[in-house]
Amino acid sequence: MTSGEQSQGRRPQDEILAGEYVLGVLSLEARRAVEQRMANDRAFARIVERWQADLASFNDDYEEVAPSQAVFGRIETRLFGPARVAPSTWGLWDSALFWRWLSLATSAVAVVAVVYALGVIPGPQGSAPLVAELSSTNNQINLLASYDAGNGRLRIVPVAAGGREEKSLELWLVPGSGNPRSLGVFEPDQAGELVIPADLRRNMAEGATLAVSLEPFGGSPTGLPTGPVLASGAARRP
Amino acid sequence: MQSNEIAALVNRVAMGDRKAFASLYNSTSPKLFSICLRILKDRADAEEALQEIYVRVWQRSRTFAVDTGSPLAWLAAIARNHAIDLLRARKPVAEDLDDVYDLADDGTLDPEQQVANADEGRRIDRCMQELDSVHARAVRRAYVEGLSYLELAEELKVPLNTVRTWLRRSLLKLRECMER
Repeated sequence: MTSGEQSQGRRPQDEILAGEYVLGVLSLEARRAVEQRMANDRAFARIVERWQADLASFNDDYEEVAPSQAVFGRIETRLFGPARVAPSTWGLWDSALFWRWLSLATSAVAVVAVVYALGVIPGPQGSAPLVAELSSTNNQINLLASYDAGNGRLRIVPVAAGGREEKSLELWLVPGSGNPRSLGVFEPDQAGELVIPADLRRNMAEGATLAVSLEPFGGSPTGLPTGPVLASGAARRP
Repeated sequence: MQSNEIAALVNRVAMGDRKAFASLYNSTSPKLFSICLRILKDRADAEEALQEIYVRVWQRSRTFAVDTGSPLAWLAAIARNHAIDLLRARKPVAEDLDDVYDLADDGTLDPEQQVANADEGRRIDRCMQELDSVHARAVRRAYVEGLSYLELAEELKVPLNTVRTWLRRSLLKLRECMER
């Protein structure tokens, strides 16, 4: 296999390799090589994903068996630590390693997504704003980041999502329990600003958890996030 | 639990909702644990694997999107991948990627036909019936138990290359059938 090559159409070899990966017959080294290729070759990754979906009905053969009670506690300890502490802020933005964290600054009427890029965006040089278009191999979305050196503020807005159709970014308020509530959909021409519905403004306080998901154009059709979730974090005073 | 309810839980987990994570664990861990047990064949190893799998579910939940498929298939893939990795690490198999795929014709499949349908999971059952029954069983056992080519060859008492050819031909036939 030549690594890094882009699939032009689909070759039977790719179908077989992807199928072998999903069946699970490959060696560990071969599995890593397939995963490496998936990361670099979107067309090949889709072939693997399709086998995964196709063969998923074989999962019916796995009859449910309950694990020991203690297992979930160990998982929680691994994820959240031994003490019952508040959930830590997520490491954000899987696909773009640039971002160390994102905080959502709030005011009474608007929410502006403010991203602090550590060591990535160069310091002030001239007066023109810096603009970066961010994309990932997953190509779910591209983001336009513009950085104003004057006030250190960086705004992100979604641009044409890679491929199939235009998408929207939707902002959610995540309650302690129950379903997230939509705070609105970011409009492409509003430079990352969103007007929070009046009845939800009292919830926009320090400590509130906010999240942004990628949704079909115009916002989630179901009223609940359909994902993927791009970022989440607790609101605080910058 | 319905697929759309599981999907909603995964998306809440993606937003850091720990109660949703507990609900997701309660409703899906018996299935994922069964996957670990079947592949690793050791209860302690399977429970260890299950921990890692749900850590990954938490971490990767933000990459899940409703429109890319069934949430249970997504969870099962995370579980199978990890269990198979552990199995292969435990018992390495000599197997190279570069061996020749000397199978059938070498034409390029038509990318226009790349349509992923939600009902393909069911179509696969029909296509499996078109395979030689011995080959179909080998395909299914490889998937469900995570058997390597060598283990399949030993279990089925046929040469390694024979079983490899069976599986590769079967994969091509399945793909061809699914696109019909």
